[in-house]
Amino acid sequence: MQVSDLFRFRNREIRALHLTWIAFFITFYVWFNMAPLASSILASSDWLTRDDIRLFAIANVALTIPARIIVGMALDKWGPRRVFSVLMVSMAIPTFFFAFGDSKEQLFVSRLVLSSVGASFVVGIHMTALWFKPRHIGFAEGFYAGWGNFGSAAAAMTIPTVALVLYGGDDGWRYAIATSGAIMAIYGVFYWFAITDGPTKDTHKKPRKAAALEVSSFRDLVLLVIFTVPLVGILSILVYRVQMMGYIDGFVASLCYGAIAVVVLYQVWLAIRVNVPILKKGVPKDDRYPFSSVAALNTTYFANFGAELAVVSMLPMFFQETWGLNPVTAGLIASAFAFVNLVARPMGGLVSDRMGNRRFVMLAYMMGIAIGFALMGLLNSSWPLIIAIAITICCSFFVQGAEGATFGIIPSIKRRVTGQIAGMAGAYGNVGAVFYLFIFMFVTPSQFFFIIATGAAVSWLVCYFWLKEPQGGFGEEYVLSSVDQAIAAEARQKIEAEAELAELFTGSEKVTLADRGSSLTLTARFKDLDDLRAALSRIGKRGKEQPAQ
Amino acid sequence: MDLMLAYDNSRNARITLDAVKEMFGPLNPSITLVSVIEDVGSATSGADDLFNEQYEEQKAGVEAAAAELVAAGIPATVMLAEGDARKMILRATEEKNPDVLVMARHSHQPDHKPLGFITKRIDAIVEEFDHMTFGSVSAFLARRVKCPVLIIPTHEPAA
Repeated sequence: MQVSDLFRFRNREIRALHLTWIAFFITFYVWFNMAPLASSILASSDWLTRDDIRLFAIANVALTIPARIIVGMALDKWGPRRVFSVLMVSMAIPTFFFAFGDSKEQLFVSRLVLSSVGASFVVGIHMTALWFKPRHIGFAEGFYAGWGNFGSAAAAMTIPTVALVLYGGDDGWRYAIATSGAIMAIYGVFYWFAITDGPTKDTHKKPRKAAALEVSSFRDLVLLVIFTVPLVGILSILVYRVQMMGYIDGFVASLCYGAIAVVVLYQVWLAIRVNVPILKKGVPKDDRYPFSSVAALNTTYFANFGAELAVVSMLPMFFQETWGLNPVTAGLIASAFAFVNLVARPMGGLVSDRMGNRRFVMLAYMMGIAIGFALMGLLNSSWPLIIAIAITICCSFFVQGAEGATFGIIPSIKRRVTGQIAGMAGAYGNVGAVFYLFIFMFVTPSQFFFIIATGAAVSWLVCYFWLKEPQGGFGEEYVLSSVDQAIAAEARQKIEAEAELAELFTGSEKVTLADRGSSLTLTARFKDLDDLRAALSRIGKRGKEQPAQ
Repeated sequence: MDLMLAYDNSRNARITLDAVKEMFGPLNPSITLVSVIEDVGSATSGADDLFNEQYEEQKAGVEAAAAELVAAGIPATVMLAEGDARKMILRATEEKNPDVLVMARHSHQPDHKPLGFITKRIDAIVEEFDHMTFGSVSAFLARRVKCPVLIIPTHEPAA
């Protein structure tokens, strides 16, 4: 696929790609419409404190993790078109609530609910995968992610102007945020009618169901369990913080802790239930993959995407206060961090593809992040602004390149479970964001940058010891492992069985064969009793004719 | 002589195949066709099916090419690999130790598109970048492979 193909608007898949990245762009625009206005919001309402704004920033990334899980399930059931439309329209509601809320609690809750909009990434990736051929999918997804992520930069660049210049006044920020929500809702409706789930009717089919990631050894299972806990467990520090600030009392807090504990235990139990039978049977050598690589990539995404989300949330205010700028300029400068995304993230993937040693590229990028943030930690008002901007851009280049490099390795770890590995690593980005923003409440911006730098250095160490260079293999027996082949054979048998059933039950309205836990359920629906009788008599006759079956 | 041909069933690969037949046919070579199916590079579970689709397509293509060679009286075998094209071809040459490795010079050749002038420029820049920066498959192999390498240019317009 060539870059110029992107101009072929008549191609249906190109149109789908453009429609989808715009949708993703708008959701990210709305998701990050608070940070550039933070100081305006503070200035216009005397019942808000700086700590409240910091708490809203955490709330803004908190529910993305559970939302990803729910959206993932919804995708399997309804397909990306409907999920994306519903997400955009429904998430406009908390946006309006936030825009016109006049108490801390309203703002907090609306931000919390609105954080679900961050799950839009998964939906678009799914949609893109349905439209493109294998050879082109990497490019298409890179383009989608790069331009969509640009939404956060666009918000930082434009929304202060809209709020202060276009609307103006104390309530300008409210109208600006409401406008972004309205645009998202309108686009959601448009998206519903403008696109289909893939080029043909049956492109969107249900993927294999898997409750938890499969691993290859008991040691890996232990690691998986350890790495499963923070996914939802991280929300407990949000609860702790909210309780400390007096939004909720001890009783509600314990209820929240309880709910989080239940979800975590359930996930751990799922991981064990799925894996123990597999491990007891023994995983064939050709089907093994190192979970420690996945763990290492979780830490890199924690340290790069987590840091990005956190930094994007605090950077406008940092520039504004350190150098005494106005909100519009500060927003513009801070947007440089996210703006680089357009080039930096695809570049990360490209470098990882081209250099021939993905592990080395990953390590180099993580080192770059550590150094970059350490330099940002040294910044203060005595530095010339232009140098500060240059350092910010360089640092961002490494942060987003590392994100691209992370997702450059993921597809080559174990293809059969790529979706789950990507989901887990992606969620770790949000874990990182919640964690870093929590820390940010207690420290100064400089200390904060040093902490992020330390996070990247730790991740570098983990990668150094755990990340393995993905290997290819020769011949058919390497390409499809024995387990993959067993799964493929089972799928073939199922299709054959379905064809046989369809033949048996001709005249019935609907015949489906579905997995229900460890058994199969056959559902057949008939218009009336006569049809059923006819079908039964056919089966009976067949049975008599072929007693051997 | 033992000849190894990197074949990915693309337009460029077919050009190379024709060149090999013409240039080496009289020398009675035996040819190993190496075909590397690259990872889909997607982050969704749907990639599994897509990969299998791509695998089947490429396998059929390379087998057809081998059949074509056999029909022309040149003994040919097929070697399929999965992973990074450069690394796998490099490993294949290390294992088989051919007398010469033949491959196409990969190219994103610009052709006529809507907004012709602009898109041609963009493609040309991307292609230049392709060759300038990290090196394509052929550049990588030209630097690392221990056997002689023959790189067939593919810039002539497709027939």
